Amino acid sequence: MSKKNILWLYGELPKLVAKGVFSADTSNKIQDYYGNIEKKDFGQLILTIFATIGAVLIGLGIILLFAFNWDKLERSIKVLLAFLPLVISQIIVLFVLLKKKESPVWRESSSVFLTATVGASIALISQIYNIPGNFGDFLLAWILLIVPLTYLLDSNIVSLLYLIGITSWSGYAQAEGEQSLLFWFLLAILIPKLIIKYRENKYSNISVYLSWTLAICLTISIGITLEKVLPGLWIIIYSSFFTVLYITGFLWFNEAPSIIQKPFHTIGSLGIIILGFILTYNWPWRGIGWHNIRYDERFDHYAAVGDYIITIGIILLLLFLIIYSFKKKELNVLFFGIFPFIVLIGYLLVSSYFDKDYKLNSSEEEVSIIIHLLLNAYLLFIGIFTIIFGTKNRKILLTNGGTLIISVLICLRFVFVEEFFENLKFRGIIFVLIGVCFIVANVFIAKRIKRSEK
Amino acid sequence: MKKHINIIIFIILAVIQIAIPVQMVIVRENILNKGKLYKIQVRPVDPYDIFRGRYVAINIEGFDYNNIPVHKRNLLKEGTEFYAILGINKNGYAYIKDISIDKPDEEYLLMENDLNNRIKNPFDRFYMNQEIAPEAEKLYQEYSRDSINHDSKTYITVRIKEGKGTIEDLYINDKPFYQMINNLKEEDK
Repeated sequence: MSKKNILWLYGELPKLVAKGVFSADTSNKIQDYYGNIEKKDFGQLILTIFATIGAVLIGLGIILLFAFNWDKLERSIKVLLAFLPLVISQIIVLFVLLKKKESPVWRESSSVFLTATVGASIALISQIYNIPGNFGDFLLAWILLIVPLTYLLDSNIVSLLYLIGITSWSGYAQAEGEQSLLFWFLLAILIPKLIIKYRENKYSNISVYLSWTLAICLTISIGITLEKVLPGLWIIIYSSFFTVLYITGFLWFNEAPSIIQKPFHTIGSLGIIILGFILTYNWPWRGIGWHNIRYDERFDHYAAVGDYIITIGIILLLLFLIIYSFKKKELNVLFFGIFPFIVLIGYLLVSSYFDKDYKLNSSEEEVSIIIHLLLNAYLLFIGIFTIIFGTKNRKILLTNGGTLIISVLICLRFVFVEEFFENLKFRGIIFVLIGVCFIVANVFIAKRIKRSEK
Repeated sequence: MKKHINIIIFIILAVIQIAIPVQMVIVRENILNKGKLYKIQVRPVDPYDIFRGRYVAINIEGFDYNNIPVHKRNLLKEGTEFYAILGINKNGYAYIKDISIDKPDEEYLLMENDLNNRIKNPFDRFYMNQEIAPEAEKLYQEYSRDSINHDSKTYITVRIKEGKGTIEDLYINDKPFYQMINNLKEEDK
């Protein structure tokens, strides 16, 4: 039962006892069964938010005050002033650790203030000495200097900032031609924190924020950290990644009442569907596979080992999750779980049948037809399954989602068509056949509904 | 007990948080105090119209690919770090006389070839108050153009020690930029 319903039930209990529906004893037993539900303390939340905003504003204000008359100051005074906010915020954090450890308002706001001043002091010193900016290095130093605060002060906002920080860093590092594989080690630093939060309550506001940020950052960073030596590897990695997200959400985060509280689930399934639509086109399949390995100097072949480790790691994780769902008898996950395997088959077929410059000869054309038919059939199937599942479980959102998937699929195949789908005769026959299937299915379902009503 | 450990860890963290910028200060102060003084001629920055706000973007003369001896150019690959051996030209400005991949005995500046095969400028910005930065930038563009034709002397002074350099000041028409801007302000009054 969701938190909201339990709260409602708890509100009803005293009335029911008063009217003699059941005894106070039963009421207590019910409360014991569902356990304590902490009411969301909005007062506390607002205090935390305001205190954090306040801390950020004070930090920025101090910097602005320094900027006033900055040029006329001696260099030594400038340097001292650059350290002043840092030291003040460190003293505040020390005070919080000693006296206010129990207050989330103090912990969050002081750690955000310290986060701002650490960055500001490094930036100010760089300005005073006109040190040429390498933003990536600056960001890396900054996030490493603040990440302990997520544990020492149990600061959730710093955890979110850290996730965003390492993702931005991986982007800058890759753009500068540096190694961004370090991202995975930086991420590992935060994993214990995530586990602690999920154990406390995986549906709390903080856990949900962390999960959303984590899922989005991973979606971005996986692509960034790849060295992209073996073309098209991203297809396998992303299809497996979204499926891993989806199954994780399905197995461990499924009791959440709304999709907002199911970030893994939501991003995973959206990712699978969008990627599925993209893969029904030709361009992602062009020039991929081991015939097209890039030998260019820009591509670091040692770093490419990282790509292979990520690929193997994510596929192993996927297999583990699928076996685990079999054991738990959660066979529903397979509807999405099968997606990366369809993609993998496609990848292997394309890699072994296509030669370097993708001119369709007859065998290549056959292979591409097989892949496209397979993917279109799969998306159609997912759409139908989602509609049926949604109707069965009375989840309007799912029913609508399924309808949307089928509508998009029809539009794409009707309007934005390419290659063999341009064949009007063929397309016409398929459309008619599938249309007939829908009508026939409808007739059957209508009959069944009538029968069950009788 | 756990509280004490947390406090000890935080104190260690706080020391590191201070140590990193302190170390930056020490390195730069050391260069500024003990480094050898060079003048580097500057030239206009492209594009001119971008408002940068807090600093004047600097472009330096004498440190380009063209200055590298032809037979040594093949040493530079994408992303190579190299030692630029410095010479002084007849006008007193520093330039790249030669390059070396191994550490040379002569005075050098550590430089880098970027991924697009352009030599990275180690002195690319000069920070100042945002109230005077736009004005300083205008002066910079105007005089650095003349400086290339030797009608003015517009340059930066840098200190270099063990390959690392730091800008000391910006000179516009042979005067520190701050003095130049103050002069202009007084004329306005």
